[in-house]
Amino acid sequence: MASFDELYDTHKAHLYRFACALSRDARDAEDLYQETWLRAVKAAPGGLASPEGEARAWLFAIAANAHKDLLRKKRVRRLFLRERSRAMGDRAADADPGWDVPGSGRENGAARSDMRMCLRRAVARLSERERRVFVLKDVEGFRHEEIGRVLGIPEATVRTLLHRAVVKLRKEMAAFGPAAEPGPALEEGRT
Amino acid sequence: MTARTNCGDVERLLLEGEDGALSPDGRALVEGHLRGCARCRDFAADRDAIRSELAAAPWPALPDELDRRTRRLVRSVGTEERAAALPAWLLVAVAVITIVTGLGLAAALADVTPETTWSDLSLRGLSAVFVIARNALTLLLAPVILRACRARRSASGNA
Repeated sequence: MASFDELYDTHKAHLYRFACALSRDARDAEDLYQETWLRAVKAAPGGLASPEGEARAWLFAIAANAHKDLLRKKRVRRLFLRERSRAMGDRAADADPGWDVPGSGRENGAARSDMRMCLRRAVARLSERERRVFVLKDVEGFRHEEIGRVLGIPEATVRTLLHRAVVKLRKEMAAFGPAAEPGPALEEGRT
Repeated sequence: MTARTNCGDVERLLLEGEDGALSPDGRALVEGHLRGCARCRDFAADRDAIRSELAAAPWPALPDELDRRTRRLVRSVGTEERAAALPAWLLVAVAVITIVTGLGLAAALADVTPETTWSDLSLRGLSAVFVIARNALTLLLAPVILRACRARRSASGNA
Protein backbone atom coordinates (compact mmCIF):
# COMPACT_ATOMS: atom_id res chain seq x y z
CA MET A 1 0.00 0.00 0.00
CA ALA A 2 1.43 3.38 -1.05
CA SER A 3 1.15 6.10 1.58
CA PHE A 4 -0.22 9.42 0.47
CA ASP A 5 3.24 10.99 0.67
CA GLU A 6 4.60 8.33 -1.69
CA LEU A 7 1.67 8.86 -4.01
CA TYR A 8 2.32 12.59 -4.00
CA ASP A 9 6.03 12.26 -4.71
CA THR A 10 5.49 9.76 -7.53
CA HIS A 11 2.86 11.71 -9.42
CA LYS A 12 3.35 15.38 -8.58
CA ALA A 13 5.44 16.25 -11.65
CA HIS A 14 3.06 14.49 -14.08
CA LEU A 15 0.01 16.09 -12.51
CA TYR A 16 1.56 19.53 -12.64
CA ARG A 17 2.41 19.04 -16.31
CA PHE A 18 -1.16 17.90 -16.97
CA ALA A 19 -2.53 20.91 -15.09
CA CYS A 20 -0.30 23.23 -17.11
CA ALA A 21 -1.29 21.61 -20.40
CA LEU A 22 -4.98 22.01 -19.64
CA SER A 23 -4.86 25.52 -18.19
CA ARG A 24 -4.62 28.84 -19.92
CA ASP A 25 -2.23 30.40 -17.42
CA ALA A 26 0.03 29.51 -14.54
CA ARG A 27 -2.49 30.61 -11.90
CA ASP A 28 -5.20 28.33 -13.29
CA ALA A 29 -2.67 25.51 -13.42
CA GLU A 30 -1.77 26.03 -9.75
CA ASP A 31 -5.44 26.08 -8.75
CA LEU A 32 -6.10 22.90 -10.67
CA TYR A 33 -3.02 21.20 -9.23
CA GLN A 34 -3.96 22.03 -5.64
CA GLU A 35 -7.61 21.17 -6.13
CA THR A 36 -6.63 17.77 -7.55
CA TRP A 37 -4.49 16.87 -4.55
CA LEU A 38 -7.07 18.21 -2.14
CA ARG A 39 -9.76 15.97 -3.65
CA ALA A 40 -7.38 13.02 -3.75
CA VAL A 41 -6.43 13.28 -0.09
CA LYS A 42 -10.07 13.64 0.91
CA ALA A 43 -10.94 10.51 -1.05
CA ALA A 44 -8.02 8.44 0.22
CA PRO A 45 -6.39 10.09 3.26
CA GLY A 46 -4.34 7.01 4.10
CA GLY A 47 -3.01 6.42 0.58
CA LEU A 48 -3.94 3.81 -2.01
CA ALA A 49 -3.62 0.06 -2.15
CA SER A 50 -4.12 -0.11 -5.93
CA PRO A 51 -1.27 -0.79 -8.38
CA GLU A 52 0.83 2.06 -9.74
CA GLY A 53 -0.99 2.35 -13.10
CA GLU A 54 -4.41 2.45 -11.48
CA ALA A 55 -3.32 5.07 -8.98
CA ARG A 56 -2.08 7.19 -11.87
CA ALA A 57 -5.34 6.81 -13.77
CA TRP A 58 -7.29 7.58 -10.59
CA LEU A 59 -5.34 10.79 -10.00
CA PHE A 60 -5.71 11.93 -13.60
CA ALA A 61 -9.44 11.24 -13.43
CA ILE A 62 -9.63 13.47 -10.37
CA ALA A 63 -7.64 16.15 -12.20
CA ALA A 64 -9.90 15.94 -15.26
CA ASN A 65 -13.03 16.24 -13.12
CA ALA A 66 -11.53 19.10 -11.15
CA HIS A 67 -10.72 20.81 -14.44
CA LYS A 68 -14.34 20.44 -15.59
CA ASP A 69 -15.62 21.83 -12.28
CA LEU A 70 -13.24 24.78 -12.29
CA LEU A 71 -14.29 25.63 -15.84
CA ARG A 72 -17.95 25.38 -14.87
CA LYS A 73 -17.36 27.77 -11.97
CA LYS A 74 -15.61 30.14 -14.34
CA ARG A 75 -18.51 29.98 -16.77
CA VAL A 76 -20.99 30.81 -14.02
CA ARG A 77 -18.83 33.73 -12.97
CA ARG A 78 -18.75 34.90 -16.60
CA LEU A 79 -22.51 34.91 -16.75
CA PHE A 80 -22.50 37.53 -14.05
CA LEU A 81 -19.62 39.50 -15.48
CA ARG A 82 -20.31 38.99 -19.17
CA GLU A 83 -18.95 42.20 -20.60
CA ARG A 84 -15.81 42.19 -18.57
CA SER A 85 -15.12 38.52 -19.10
CA ARG A 86 -15.65 38.85 -22.85
CA ALA A 87 -12.69 41.15 -23.02
CA MET A 88 -10.70 38.86 -20.76
CA GLY A 89 -11.71 35.81 -22.81
CA ASP A 90 -10.44 37.43 -25.99
CA ARG A 91 -7.17 38.12 -24.35
CA ALA A 92 -6.98 34.60 -22.97
CA ALA A 93 -7.51 33.10 -26.42
CA ASP A 94 -4.45 34.92 -27.69
CA ALA A 95 -2.37 34.31 -24.61
CA ASP A 96 0.17 31.54 -24.40
CA PRO A 97 -1.12 28.47 -22.66
CA GLY A 98 0.06 27.64 -19.17
CA TRP A 99 2.63 25.14 -20.35
CA ASP A 100 4.76 27.74 -22.02
CA VAL A 101 8.25 27.83 -20.59
CA PRO A 102 9.69 31.32 -20.66
CA GLY A 103 12.84 31.54 -22.72
CA SER A 104 12.70 27.92 -23.87
CA GLY A 105 13.15 26.87 -27.46
CA ARG A 106 15.17 29.82 -28.74
CA GLU A 107 18.39 27.93 -28.20
CA ASN A 108 17.18 25.25 -30.62
CA GLY A 109 16.63 27.71 -33.41
CA ALA A 110 13.98 30.27 -34.19
CA ALA A 111 12.00 28.01 -36.55
CA ARG A 112 11.64 25.25 -33.97
CA SER A 113 10.75 27.75 -31.27
CA ASP A 114 8.08 29.38 -33.44
CA MET A 115 6.77 25.99 -34.40
CA ARG A 116 6.47 24.99 -30.75
CA MET A 117 4.79 28.27 -29.86
CA CYS A 118 2.35 27.77 -32.71
CA LEU A 119 1.65 24.21 -31.57
CA ARG A 120 1.05 25.39 -28.02
CA ARG A 121 -1.39 28.02 -29.15
CA ALA A 122 -3.14 25.54 -31.38
CA VAL A 123 -3.52 23.10 -28.48
CA ALA A 124 -4.85 25.92 -26.31
CA ARG A 125 -7.52 26.61 -28.95
CA LEU A 126 -8.88 23.06 -28.94
CA SER A 127 -12.18 22.53 -27.18
CA GLU A 128 -11.82 21.45 -23.55
CA ARG A 129 -12.83 17.86 -24.31
CA GLU A 130 -10.49 17.59 -27.27
CA ARG A 131 -7.66 19.11 -25.28
CA ARG A 132 -8.14 16.71 -22.38
CA VAL A 133 -8.04 13.71 -24.71
CA PHE A 134 -5.14 15.06 -26.76
CA VAL A 135 -3.01 15.90 -23.73
CA LEU A 136 -3.68 12.56 -22.06
CA LYS A 137 -2.65 10.81 -25.28
CA ASP A 138 0.24 12.83 -26.59
CA VAL A 139 1.69 14.32 -23.44
CA GLU A 140 0.91 11.76 -20.78
CA GLY A 141 1.06 8.70 -23.02
CA PHE A 142 -2.21 7.06 -21.95
CA ARG A 143 -3.77 4.50 -24.26
CA HIS A 144 -7.21 5.12 -25.78
CA GLU A 145 -8.84 2.65 -23.44
CA GLU A 146 -7.19 4.25 -20.38
CA ILE A 147 -8.25 7.71 -21.50
CA GLY A 148 -11.81 6.44 -21.74
CA ARG A 149 -11.63 5.23 -18.15
CA VAL A 150 -9.96 8.42 -16.90
CA LEU A 151 -12.53 10.69 -18.54
CA GLY A 152 -15.50 8.37 -18.15
CA ILE A 153 -16.28 8.31 -21.87
CA PRO A 154 -16.47 5.45 -24.42
CA GLU A 155 -13.29 4.51 -26.25
CA ALA A 156 -14.95 5.34 -29.58
CA THR A 157 -15.53 8.90 -28.32
CA VAL A 158 -11.87 9.12 -27.34
CA ARG A 159 -10.86 8.17 -30.88
CA THR A 160 -13.27 10.66 -32.40
CA LEU A 161 -12.10 13.50 -30.15
CA LEU A 162 -8.44 12.69 -30.78
CA HIS A 163 -8.99 12.59 -34.53
CA ARG A 164 -10.84 15.89 -34.41
CA ALA A 165 -8.05 17.41 -32.30
CA VAL A 166 -5.33 16.28 -34.71
CA VAL A 167 -7.28 17.57 -37.73
CA LYS A 168 -7.74 20.96 -36.02
CA LEU A 169 -4.08 21.11 -35.02
CA ARG A 170 -3.01 20.40 -38.60
CA LYS A 171 -5.23 23.22 -39.83
CA GLU A 172 -3.84 25.61 -37.24
CA MET A 173 -0.31 24.52 -38.00
CA ALA A 174 -0.86 25.08 -41.72
CA ALA A 175 -0.88 28.79 -41.07
CA PHE A 176 2.59 28.42 -39.61
CA GLY A 177 4.31 27.42 -42.86
CA PRO A 178 4.28 29.01 -46.28
CA ALA A 179 2.03 26.33 -47.79
CA ALA A 180 -1.72 26.67 -47.68
CA GLU A 181 -2.35 22.97 -47.06
CA PRO A 182 -1.38 21.15 -43.89
CA GLY A 183 1.40 18.66 -44.28
CA PRO A 184 4.36 20.56 -45.70
CA ALA A 185 3.68 23.22 -43.08
CA LEU A 186 4.70 20.88 -40.30
CA GLU A 187 7.73 19.70 -42.22
CA GLU A 188 9.13 23.25 -41.96
CA GLY A 189 9.26 23.05 -38.19
CA ARG A 190 11.28 19.90 -38.20
CA THR A 191 14.35 21.45 -39.72
CA MET B 1 -10.29 1.20 -50.34
CA THR B 2 -9.74 4.25 -52.46
CA ALA B 3 -7.83 7.32 -51.41
CA ARG B 4 -10.73 9.67 -52.06
CA THR B 5 -13.53 7.96 -50.23
CA ASN B 6 -11.95 6.65 -47.07
CA CYS B 7 -9.20 9.00 -46.00
CA GLY B 8 -11.02 9.83 -42.74
CA ASP B 9 -11.19 6.14 -41.85
CA VAL B 10 -7.51 5.70 -42.61
CA GLU B 11 -6.66 8.69 -40.41
CA ARG B 12 -8.61 7.11 -37.57
CA LEU B 13 -6.88 3.78 -38.15
CA LEU B 14 -3.51 5.54 -38.09
CA LEU B 15 -4.35 7.01 -34.68
CA GLU B 16 -5.62 3.66 -33.48
CA GLY B 17 -2.39 2.05 -34.58
CA GLU B 18 -0.45 4.27 -32.16
CA ASP B 19 -1.69 2.04 -29.36
CA GLY B 20 -0.54 -1.03 -31.25
CA ALA B 21 -4.18 -2.03 -31.48
CA LEU B 22 -4.28 -2.43 -35.24
CA SER B 23 -4.88 -5.92 -36.63
CA PRO B 24 -2.54 -7.23 -39.37
CA ASP B 25 -5.38 -6.69 -41.85
CA GLY B 26 -5.89 -3.13 -40.66
CA ARG B 27 -2.19 -2.43 -40.91
CA ALA B 28 -2.06 -3.82 -44.45
CA LEU B 29 -5.06 -1.69 -45.37
CA VAL B 30 -3.42 1.47 -44.02
CA GLU B 31 -0.09 0.74 -45.67
CA GLY B 32 -1.76 0.02 -48.99
CA HIS B 33 -3.77 3.22 -48.78
CA LEU B 34 -0.75 5.32 -47.82
CA ARG B 35 1.15 4.14 -50.88
CA GLY B 36 -1.46 5.66 -53.15
CA CYS B 37 -2.63 8.68 -51.15
CA ALA B 38 -0.43 11.73 -50.70
CA ARG B 39 -3.03 13.42 -48.48
CA CYS B 40 -2.91 10.62 -45.91
CA ARG B 41 0.88 10.45 -46.12
CA ASP B 42 0.89 14.13 -45.19
CA PHE B 43 -1.48 13.42 -42.32
CA ALA B 44 0.80 10.65 -41.04
CA ALA B 45 3.87 12.88 -41.39
CA ASP B 46 2.18 15.77 -39.58
CA ARG B 47 0.98 13.46 -36.86
CA ASP B 48 4.56 12.24 -36.34
CA ALA B 49 5.77 15.84 -36.29
CA ILE B 50 3.22 16.85 -33.66
CA ARG B 51 4.12 13.89 -31.47
CA SER B 52 7.85 14.44 -31.72
CA GLU B 53 7.48 18.18 -31.08
CA LEU B 54 5.46 17.49 -27.96
CA ALA B 55 7.86 14.80 -26.80
CA ALA B 56 10.76 17.21 -27.16
CA ALA B 57 8.96 20.23 -25.73
CA PRO B 58 10.28 21.45 -22.37
CA TRP B 59 7.71 21.41 -19.60
CA PRO B 60 7.55 23.77 -16.65
CA ALA B 61 8.87 22.23 -13.46
CA LEU B 62 6.69 22.21 -10.39
CA PRO B 63 7.56 25.41 -8.49
CA ASP B 64 9.08 24.65 -5.07
CA GLU B 65 6.75 27.07 -3.36
CA LEU B 66 3.64 25.40 -4.84
CA ASP B 67 5.05 21.99 -3.98
CA ARG B 68 5.60 22.99 -0.33
CA ARG B 69 2.19 24.69 -0.08
CA THR B 70 0.36 21.71 -1.57
CA ARG B 71 2.23 19.19 0.55
CA ARG B 72 1.34 21.18 3.70
CA LEU B 73 -2.29 21.39 2.62
CA VAL B 74 -2.48 17.69 1.80
CA ARG B 75 -0.94 16.72 5.13
CA SER B 76 -3.27 18.89 7.18
CA VAL B 77 -6.38 17.70 5.33
CA GLY B 78 -5.18 14.08 5.41
CA THR B 79 -4.75 14.21 9.19
CA GLU B 80 -8.21 15.69 9.63
CA GLU B 81 -9.79 13.13 7.31
CA ARG B 82 -8.08 10.24 9.08
CA ALA B 83 -9.19 11.58 12.47
CA ALA B 84 -12.72 12.04 11.19
CA ALA B 85 -12.98 8.51 9.78
CA LEU B 86 -14.41 6.18 12.46
CA PRO B 87 -13.23 2.57 12.50
CA ALA B 88 -15.89 -0.04 11.73
CA TRP B 89 -15.65 -1.74 15.14
CA LEU B 90 -16.47 1.56 16.83
CA LEU B 91 -19.56 2.01 14.67
CA VAL B 92 -20.71 -1.54 15.53
CA ALA B 93 -20.10 -0.89 19.25
CA VAL B 94 -22.10 2.35 19.07
CA ALA B 95 -24.95 0.54 17.31
CA VAL B 96 -25.01 -2.24 19.95
CA ILE B 97 -24.93 0.26 22.84
CA THR B 98 -27.74 2.28 21.23
CA ILE B 99 -29.97 -0.79 20.82
CA VAL B 100 -29.30 -2.07 24.35
CA THR B 101 -29.92 1.38 25.84
CA GLY B 102 -33.14 1.75 23.84
CA LEU B 103 -34.43 -1.63 24.99
CA GLY B 104 -33.46 -0.85 28.61
CA LEU B 105 -35.19 2.53 28.51
CA ALA B 106 -38.30 1.02 26.94
CA ALA B 107 -38.47 -1.57 29.71
CA ALA B 108 -37.81 1.03 32.45
CA LEU B 109 -40.50 3.38 31.14
CA ALA B 110 -43.07 0.72 30.29
CA ASP B 111 -45.33 1.76 33.20
CA VAL B 112 -45.18 5.48 32.50
CA THR B 113 -48.44 7.04 31.26
CA PRO B 114 -49.38 10.66 30.52
CA GLU B 115 -50.88 10.86 34.01
CA THR B 116 -47.67 9.74 35.72
CA THR B 117 -46.05 12.47 37.89
CA TRP B 118 -42.43 12.78 39.03
CA SER B 119 -43.34 11.46 42.48
CA ASP B 120 -44.90 8.33 40.94
CA LEU B 121 -41.68 7.43 39.11
CA SER B 122 -39.71 4.51 40.47
CA LEU B 123 -35.94 4.60 40.80
CA ARG B 124 -35.67 2.73 37.48
CA GLY B 125 -37.93 5.29 35.82
CA LEU B 126 -35.92 8.21 37.21
CA SER B 127 -32.68 6.58 36.00
CA ALA B 128 -34.20 6.20 32.53
CA VAL B 129 -35.21 9.90 32.44
CA PHE B 130 -31.70 10.85 33.58
CA VAL B 131 -30.13 8.75 30.79
CA ILE B 132 -32.43 10.33 28.17
CA ALA B 133 -31.61 13.85 29.37
CA ARG B 134 -27.87 13.13 29.43
CA ASN B 135 -27.91 11.67 25.88
CA ALA B 136 -29.88 14.64 24.58
CA LEU B 137 -27.36 17.05 26.08
CA THR B 138 -24.45 15.05 24.65
CA LEU B 139 -25.95 15.10 21.15
CA LEU B 140 -26.56 18.83 21.46
CA LEU B 141 -23.08 19.74 22.66
CA ALA B 142 -20.91 17.15 20.87
CA PRO B 143 -20.58 19.07 17.57
CA VAL B 144 -19.60 22.26 19.41
CA ILE B 145 -17.00 20.43 21.50
CA LEU B 146 -15.59 18.58 18.46
CA ARG B 147 -15.33 21.81 16.47
CA ALA B 148 -13.53 23.53 19.33
CA CYS B 149 -11.11 20.59 19.66
CA ARG B 150 -10.35 20.62 15.91
CA ALA B 151 -9.80 24.38 15.90
CA ARG B 152 -7.40 24.06 18.85
CA ARG B 153 -5.55 21.19 17.12
CA SER B 154 -5.16 23.03 13.82
CA ALA B 155 -4.05 26.21 15.63
CA SER B 156 -1.32 24.27 17.46
CA GLY B 157 -0.40 22.52 14.16
CA ASN B 158 0.05 25.83 12.36
CA ALA B 159 2.13 27.22 15.21
